Amino acid sequence: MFKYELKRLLKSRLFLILILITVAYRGFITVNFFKNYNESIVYDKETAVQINAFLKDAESKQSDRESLRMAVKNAYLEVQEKAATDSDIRNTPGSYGKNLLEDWTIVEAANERAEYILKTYPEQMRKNVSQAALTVNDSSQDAYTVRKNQKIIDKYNVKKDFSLIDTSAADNWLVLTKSFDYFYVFLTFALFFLASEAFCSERTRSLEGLVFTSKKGRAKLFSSRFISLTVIAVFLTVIFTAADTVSALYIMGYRLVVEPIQILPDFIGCMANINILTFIILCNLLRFALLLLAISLAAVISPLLRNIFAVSLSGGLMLFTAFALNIYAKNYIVFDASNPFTGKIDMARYKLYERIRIFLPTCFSSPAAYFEKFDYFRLADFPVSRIAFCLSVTVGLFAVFTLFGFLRFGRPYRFLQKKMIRGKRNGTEI
Amino acid sequence: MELKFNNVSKNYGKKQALSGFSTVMSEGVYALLGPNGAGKSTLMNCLSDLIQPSEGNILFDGADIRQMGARFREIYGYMPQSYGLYPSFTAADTLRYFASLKDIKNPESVITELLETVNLSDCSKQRVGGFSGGMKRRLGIAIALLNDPKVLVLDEPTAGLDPKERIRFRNLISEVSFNRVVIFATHIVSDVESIANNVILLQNGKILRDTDVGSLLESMDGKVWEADVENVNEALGKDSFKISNIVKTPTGAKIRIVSDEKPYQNAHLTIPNLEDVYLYYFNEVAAEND
Repeated sequence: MFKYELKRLLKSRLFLILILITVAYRGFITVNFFKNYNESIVYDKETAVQINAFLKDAESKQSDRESLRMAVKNAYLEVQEKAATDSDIRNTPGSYGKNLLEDWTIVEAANERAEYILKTYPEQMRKNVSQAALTVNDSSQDAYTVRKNQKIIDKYNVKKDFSLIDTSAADNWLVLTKSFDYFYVFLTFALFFLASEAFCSERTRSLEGLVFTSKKGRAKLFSSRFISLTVIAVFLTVIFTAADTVSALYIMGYRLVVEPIQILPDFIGCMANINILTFIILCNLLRFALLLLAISLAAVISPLLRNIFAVSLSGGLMLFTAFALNIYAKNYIVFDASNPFTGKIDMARYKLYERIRIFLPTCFSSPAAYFEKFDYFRLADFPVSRIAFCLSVTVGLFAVFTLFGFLRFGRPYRFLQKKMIRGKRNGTEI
Repeated sequence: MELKFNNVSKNYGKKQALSGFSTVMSEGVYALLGPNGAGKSTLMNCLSDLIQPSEGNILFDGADIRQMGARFREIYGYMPQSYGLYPSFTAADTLRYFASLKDIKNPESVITELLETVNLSDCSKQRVGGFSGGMKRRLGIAIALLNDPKVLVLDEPTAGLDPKERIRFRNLISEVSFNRVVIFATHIVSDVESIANNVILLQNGKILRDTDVGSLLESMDGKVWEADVENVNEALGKDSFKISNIVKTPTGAKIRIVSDEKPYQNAHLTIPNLEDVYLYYFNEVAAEND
């Protein structure tokens, strides 16, 4: 049964059209990114190798981390001083690169890395923990504040073993990762439309009489159809996780991909103990949850409306509203029209964003936001993780939609009839 | 084996599609005959558990079919009036798909046998998308027969078929009707004459007659006449009788009349057929095809 359902779905015209659009859209974003890749990178690969060689060399010469940081900083100041007094830095031979200009580039980047890894990050964590400790020990604080700060201590009082390596390539990788946010919005819609077509197909093809009079018609058909759609969602998730991993490896290299996500300044506040590769997998799993929800949404609406256009339109509008809300709130930094580099935070939008991320599953289309900071909200007197709560909401909705869809699958007449009988009893007509 | 309809009614808002339908069926072929909107499809949908009767129930060997659920569907075969199939599937794949839905273990031998029965063996690997209307109908009956049903329901099985396909289909129904309750709805009288043992005449959701074909024809004895008339238009203008057939002759026309009384002095009684029955009860000429 499952085999035939999957075969039918894969051979459907809608599936082929959606796959073509998906490949074209994904391809367009990727090609567009790599077209401008050489212009957008901060350093070429050769310079990155030189930066890492410099850092490794410095690391081997110093016994403790503070001495290491100071050694790198001194090297940077030394080169800076030399460059300031040298009138021809391009032709003066360098110690680390071909010339003094290259030396400057290498030690500046190395210093920036060393400062972040050896000073900024550990200091920030120490600060988080010590401030939280003060609050935890303050008896005048309410239960929520104490619990929240205890959580901060638990989450941030963990030693991270960063390698002292250049991370400038990660900036490009982050740009690419975020440019796929809209792609996943499209993918959710695509799977929803495919699921709507699948769950309405008996109606569309007038097969209700043949199918629903079969012994195991309803239950077996629903489960095999649901599994087929889930298999497609799994397949897409695996493919795009693999694509994300390959692009991350290409852009950042293996060494950086297995580093803790906190090595990137964008994720300095991330409290999860994960590396970049795990982050990629988790993001795709959250998107997978969204895809499953889209399938269950189609399953629950289909028996009510029964017509593929009505189902697509109503469910599509629901998804559109939820995505539009997320996209509107997500862009809480409003940039100045005359100067695109300056912007200010629209507080109303920011607060909205903080609220919707608690319960709106469409926020999983841009999951990075959940990993950027200490992301808990107050529920009664307890700090609750936004990502965990939103995931619970998603799973809950998925379960309710699937169950309701299953119970109603192929039984639209009864639903309408109950309404009819109720209307008759109440003396009203439907 | 007994299929009992117990005062089955179905309302759609104020409209009563089926009203107090009661009858008992055992092995044999039953024709539900009536014009469009008589309630035939509603009755079949109730029997198929696709819609719930507003009142009454249907019992199979004493058990309510709604309570039997899957147990009833296990011995039930249904071919709706109109249905689509998945065009990308072959005939054999379509049967395998429905065999799986009907929970048939090791279906291959059944599928081969059924494709043979419905004369589609040569097309078993052809895609259904390229099938003619008649081939799709034959595949539909094969689907309905997959589980060797005790109750086989066919809704307008010959609608839309050309005469050759219709004859082939009638023969097919006769072949598979042994040892089952076969119910088929139609408004095509010639189908009833060819295959049904019993006829239920339905109009506006109510039973007009429920009897065997012989008795129904017997009840028309003395009501079907033939007469030679000179002026056909004058005969057509009369409301006191119904004309079922007109054959032009050199002197005028020979007309076939359904009437309780002798319509013309020169009229003589003739042997009734089901078309006359249809005209008598439904006051319209029976469809030879749709």
